[in-house]
Amino acid sequence: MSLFLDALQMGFMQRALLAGTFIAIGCACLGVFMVLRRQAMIGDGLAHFTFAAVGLGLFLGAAPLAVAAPLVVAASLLILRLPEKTALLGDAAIGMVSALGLAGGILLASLGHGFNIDLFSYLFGDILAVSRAEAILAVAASLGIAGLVALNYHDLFSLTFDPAQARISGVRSERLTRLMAILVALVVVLGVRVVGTLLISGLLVFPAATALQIARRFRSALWIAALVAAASVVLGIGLAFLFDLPAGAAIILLNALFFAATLLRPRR
Amino acid sequence: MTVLRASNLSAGYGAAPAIESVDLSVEAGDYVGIVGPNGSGKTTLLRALLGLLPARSGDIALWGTPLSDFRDWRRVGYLPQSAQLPFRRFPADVREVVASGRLAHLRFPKRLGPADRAAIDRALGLLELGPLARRMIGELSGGQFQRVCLARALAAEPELLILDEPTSALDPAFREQFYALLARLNREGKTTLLLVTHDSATVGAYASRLLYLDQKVVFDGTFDDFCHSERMTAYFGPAAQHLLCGRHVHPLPEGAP
Repeated sequence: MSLFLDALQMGFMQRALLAGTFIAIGCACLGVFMVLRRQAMIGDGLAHFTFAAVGLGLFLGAAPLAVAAPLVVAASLLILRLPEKTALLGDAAIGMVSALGLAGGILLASLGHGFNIDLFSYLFGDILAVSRAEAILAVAASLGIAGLVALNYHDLFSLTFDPAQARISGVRSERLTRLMAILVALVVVLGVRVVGTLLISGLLVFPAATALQIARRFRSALWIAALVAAASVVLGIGLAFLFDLPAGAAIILLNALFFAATLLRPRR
Repeated sequence: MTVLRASNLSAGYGAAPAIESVDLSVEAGDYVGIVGPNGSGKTTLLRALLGLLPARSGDIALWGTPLSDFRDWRRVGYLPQSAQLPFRRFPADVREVVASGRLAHLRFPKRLGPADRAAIDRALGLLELGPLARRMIGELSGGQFQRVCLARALAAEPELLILDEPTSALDPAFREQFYALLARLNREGKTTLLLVTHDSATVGAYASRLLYLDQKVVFDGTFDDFCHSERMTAYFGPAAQHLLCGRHVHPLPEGAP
């Protein structure tokens, strides 16, 4: 334990905890809305797309996440628009964008022989390599999400529970939905540093699913999801450091453990 | 005062319009029952009137303001047809859902005040939901959930209340009670009502106007006129008209099947 406490004095560990905790909280809050709106897999789809976008960044020799952010935001908005334009269900749109992303990533990986190792590092994430700028962005994105939720709580509740009712209550549904899609895209891009593209959807889904097993009120679902997410990151990084485990996997497995624990509660 | 006006309204989902060239004017204090067969465009009409479905042509105005510019949504309450039970673990109780009916009344930073809480309590009381107020929404039966959605619409204390098959999941006793409640809101609260139903005989007993829709407006007048109109007899045949008018009209004509 003293080893871990010593490590807390180091900059890389502080950045890892700060970025990881804030990104996880942002993902958890958005995840509650995504799960309740049956868009839980959007994180998976966008993560796969991020794989291609990061690949493009590496291929072009540019900063991968800077290239990925606008592309993944565009993909997220595309997932929103496709069902409106084509009468497809939302999960089909997610599946299509996801496959497009993976195909693009694989193609770029085969073209750019020199950067395969870098690209594959994004599959699993590397939370201990989070830069100062990435940590600041993670905190800013998470605070942005918290602000959005706090200021639009009633609108978001209505939009999640009954979109038609929200519209005739004067909620600017399209604008709010687009804003949520943009924020999901940004936390996914930032989150790939924490747990990697393969596991980022776990940060969106697990804390929300755990909270929904316990919460009886909408507000408490958001708080529980945030708390579970933060606890999983802090404990996950600690365990990863102490037992030399991959941090991303430890975080997601802890989330799974928290969810499993809710299943042991007596049913109402 | 004209609360709602639609002229030459056409709307639909596929290639063929579900409603075509509909003209409708609703005055303050009206109680309009909209009836028609399945697929006649009743729900489409309501959704188009509220802007939930874009109109293909025609104009809609609420209190004289074109729908595209209308922002005063606290004057409008709506109960959709598909008030489906939510996800069983949706984290909200009955009171929280009914409270969402007050949303259009809230101004930044959108906190419920004493007037909002009083309106929520009244709506819960009117629909006899007081004992269920802290019950999770996913634990309700279909009929209870429909009552919650009605309470949410009433919590808005709207001047215009638009209801799409509001009694489809209610038991017969509560259905009668509900129609009586609507009549009281219309009479005493001056709430203008626009109600879609298949229950033409019951709504006919309460509504001031009946509108029969079959893609176009086939009839617009009182229930009495509807049941005694020769034009409607010719349109439906005597037996069908008898079914639509129920106990309100004369006995089934002789020789009718």
